[in-house]
Amino acid sequence: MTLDILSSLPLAATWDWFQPQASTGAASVDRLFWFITWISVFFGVLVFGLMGYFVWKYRARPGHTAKPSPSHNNALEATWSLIPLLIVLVIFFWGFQGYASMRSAPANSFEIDVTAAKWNWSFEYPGGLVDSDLHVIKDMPTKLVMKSTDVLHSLYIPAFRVKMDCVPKKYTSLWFTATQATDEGEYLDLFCTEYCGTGHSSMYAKVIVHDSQAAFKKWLKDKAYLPDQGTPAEVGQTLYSKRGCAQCHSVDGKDNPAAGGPSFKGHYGKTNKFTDGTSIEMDENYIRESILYPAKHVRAGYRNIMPTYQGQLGDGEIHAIIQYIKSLNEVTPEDWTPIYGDGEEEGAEAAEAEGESTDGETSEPAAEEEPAAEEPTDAAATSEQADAEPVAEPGAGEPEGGDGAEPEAA
Amino acid sequence: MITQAKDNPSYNDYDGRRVAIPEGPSYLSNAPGTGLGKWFESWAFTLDHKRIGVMYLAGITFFFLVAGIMALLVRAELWTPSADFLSLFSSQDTSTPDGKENAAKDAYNVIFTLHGAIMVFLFIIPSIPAALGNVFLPLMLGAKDVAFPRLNLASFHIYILGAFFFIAALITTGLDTGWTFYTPYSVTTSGPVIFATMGVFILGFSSIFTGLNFIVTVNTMRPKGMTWFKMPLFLWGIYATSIIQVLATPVLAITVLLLTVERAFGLGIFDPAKGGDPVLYQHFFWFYSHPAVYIMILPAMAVISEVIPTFSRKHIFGYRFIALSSIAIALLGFLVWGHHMFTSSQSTLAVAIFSFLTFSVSIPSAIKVFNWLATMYKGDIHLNTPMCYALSFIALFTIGGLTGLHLGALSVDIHLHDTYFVVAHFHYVMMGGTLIAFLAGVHYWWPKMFGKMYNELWARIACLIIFVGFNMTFFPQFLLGTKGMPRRYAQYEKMPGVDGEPFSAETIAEFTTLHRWSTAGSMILGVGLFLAAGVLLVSFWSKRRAPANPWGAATMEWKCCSPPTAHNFETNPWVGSPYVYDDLVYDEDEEGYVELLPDLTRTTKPAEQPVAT
Repeated sequence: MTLDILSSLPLAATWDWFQPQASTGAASVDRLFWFITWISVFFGVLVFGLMGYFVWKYRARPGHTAKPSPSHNNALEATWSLIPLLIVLVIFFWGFQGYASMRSAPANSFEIDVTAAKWNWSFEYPGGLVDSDLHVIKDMPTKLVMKSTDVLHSLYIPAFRVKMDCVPKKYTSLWFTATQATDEGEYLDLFCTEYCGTGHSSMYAKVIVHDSQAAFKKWLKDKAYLPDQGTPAEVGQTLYSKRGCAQCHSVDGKDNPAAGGPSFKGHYGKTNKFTDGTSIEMDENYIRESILYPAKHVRAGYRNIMPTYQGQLGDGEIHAIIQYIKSLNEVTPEDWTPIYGDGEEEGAEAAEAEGESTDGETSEPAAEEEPAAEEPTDAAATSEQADAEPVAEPGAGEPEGGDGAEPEAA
Repeated sequence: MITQAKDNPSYNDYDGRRVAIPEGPSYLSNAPGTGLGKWFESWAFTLDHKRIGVMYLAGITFFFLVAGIMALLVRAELWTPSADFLSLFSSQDTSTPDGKENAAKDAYNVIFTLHGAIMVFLFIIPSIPAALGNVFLPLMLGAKDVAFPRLNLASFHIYILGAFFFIAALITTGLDTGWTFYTPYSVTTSGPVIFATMGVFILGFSSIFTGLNFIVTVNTMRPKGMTWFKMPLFLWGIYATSIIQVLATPVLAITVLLLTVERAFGLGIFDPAKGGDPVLYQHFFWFYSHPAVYIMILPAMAVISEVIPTFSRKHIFGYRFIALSSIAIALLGFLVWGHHMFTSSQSTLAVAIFSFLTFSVSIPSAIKVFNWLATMYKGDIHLNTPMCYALSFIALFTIGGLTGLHLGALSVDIHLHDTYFVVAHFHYVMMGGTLIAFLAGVHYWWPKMFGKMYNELWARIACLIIFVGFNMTFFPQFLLGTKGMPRRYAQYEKMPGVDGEPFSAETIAEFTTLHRWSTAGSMILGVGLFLAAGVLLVSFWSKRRAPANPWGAATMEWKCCSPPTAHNFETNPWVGSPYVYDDLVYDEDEEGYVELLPDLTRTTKPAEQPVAT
């Protein structure tokens, strides 16, 4: 495109105006941006230039007076109405064209369900695994189907130049195709851009672009098997900071109703009063209930603002959070046994470290947890094949992004 | 004819053609010996449009100060990437790092909300129409007062009442919805939303009354000889504004009333859980609030259309285009509200139509800018303070207007929506436009309103500092926006918690640099504004009395003494063309301009003899 030259002129070159273009649509947005910007620069220079020139040339000074000139000229005025009109029409059509392609996702897009809640993001991947970061595959059209559980939010990925509001009781969507894989440890920003309260500015997620479908599947598989990520208490701590708990609950034992919820520290094993006058001793069951049915028992002095985590945290993750709370309260936390059984754990880990060939062992314990865990086994079996055709595959087998889906089943 | 005492022997009579302007007691002064109580009454219950205007001026200046301090606090918080500074202003428990961070975030949300809400509802909307318009609309018509003086007073009292509700929300600290009160957040938040929305409801009536009053005044009280197209352009601007106020404000009133009922009784119009639609609120809200943008900018353009010709000593260029473009903007402005909602799940068709209409409304604004420039052509340009502000206005409004093209273009808007690019854009228009024009107007009419001249040198220095500070504050925000910095962020470094995961490192570094430029600029801007206010206030103690017509303007408000008497004109003024300066000559003794009646004695032979029939 000859117009690309606009973005390499000095104004643009001395300062990187944008985040790097990391999606197929980004370049066209930037091109229109620079087109408008250079038109603006032209008219800006024209207006400032004439203004400066007139102020200097016709400045009041002894011996100088205003000279007569026409006080209207229809031809001139029509000209400077029509030329801007034509220019804005061009901008309008160009902008609309870009927008229309932004709104129509390719039919074979890979779908990820997004849930926005005060104040965290949950991304649900095929198979039901939910994570707080957005993982996508390079060169694969990806469609985000979004909803909100409470107030308005807006999902924004500057590097992809995409944005869409998340509205309660309504599905919205956007799509993009990432063009650059992120390096190990690197990530792109994902912001919330619709004001949503205290935690608005920290409602953040990382966007990780995997190089290939195989890499994505490996991540999906590793993610589903929690013991690889540490002890339950460690996993619980990660979940605490990444899944929205930290926005309201402190871990230092100080209760602060203004922050939203009671501290994770200092209540375990103690009897707590609720707004309806009842009281319960805080144990594993109570924590589980609070996560899944938060409105059932609201602690006295607090507001009923916690969103439910049903369908967003699996049994393993709830277990991890319970153990994390225990560890904060000087109660010895348990290991993964209640979730994954014992004995087989070592074998599973070993098998995993080894490679993708032995799937039988991992599938068994994982299957108890949630459908997601089934997936890595299949994925492992077909991963080589998948490597060969990274683009076409998942979308085709992925009609609605529902649970238990198998991206490669087609 | 009443003539004034001519003690000065060098008084220039200009062959008896000089139009004498009789002096009289200032409208600001009371009869000698008036007690404090009577003095208060004489102001609080006055029917004099000028006194009401001056009270509005004092009121909006106070609220501008309050909201301006809020703005500086917001900027101070953004100096560092973390949420820390504003926890100093929080009553929450800040003894732990978590508590401190949350306290700062909450305080930030409250402060930016109050900044926006106070600036919009208590400052910008009433600034030029209610303060300057009240004083000068009747004067420009050569009239004694507005059509309904009591309604005028009522509108001021309602303004004070509405402001009281707003201040109540301020004192109870916790209104954190943003000035837009978007549902469902505003229905669920714990802040005193009802107080604030009732405040908006009441202020709306003030706005409607003022608009109605001005429409009737312009329609019925124009003097003989002043046809529609011989009105000063300030009146056209105020007239167009009044139409919007009368038509659009009721929609806002209904919207906030619905919101109040929704919150108080759970009506369910906007609540998705009850079958309502939260996006419907946005439609209602912007149906008023977009036209409200023109309530803010049209009077600003109107002031500039007065200042530029006066200080260029040239007839305004393209009078009809400017006058009609005000009306065009007022009408088209009703049809573009959807451009605030390009990312809120509207249909593609609706989005396309709103984008198209948005571009169409940009043309009348462009016409005005070109016409102002053409007015200066071959002029005799005096760089007095009002002209300096007018030139600042043209520069800043041009930048604000051109960046509107980026936001109107659909695909680019998706990227820029709700980022700092938008923040920069509307500050260039609202502050670079309306506030600068307001300052131009205040400096232009100050001698007439208060009968004193301010110090030109210092006023111009203040103007320069404001211009530099303004650009330093808001230009970096365009860059922040293209980089992707979202609006309304209390911090820009990490996810929640003491060791929350950080944003990407490059992002934090770039945002920090740009925010620091902006914050530093805002402090300079603050200094400039204080200096400008100081220069004006000091003039009250100045010995330099203002002449009736210090700038040589041809509109009628300069044809009464400075300051005017209670009834404005002691004798009926001569209605001339508002932009012809030929008969105004500078008089050294007056230190101002005097108007001469046209010299009708024929000195030269006509170029052509009439053709004999």
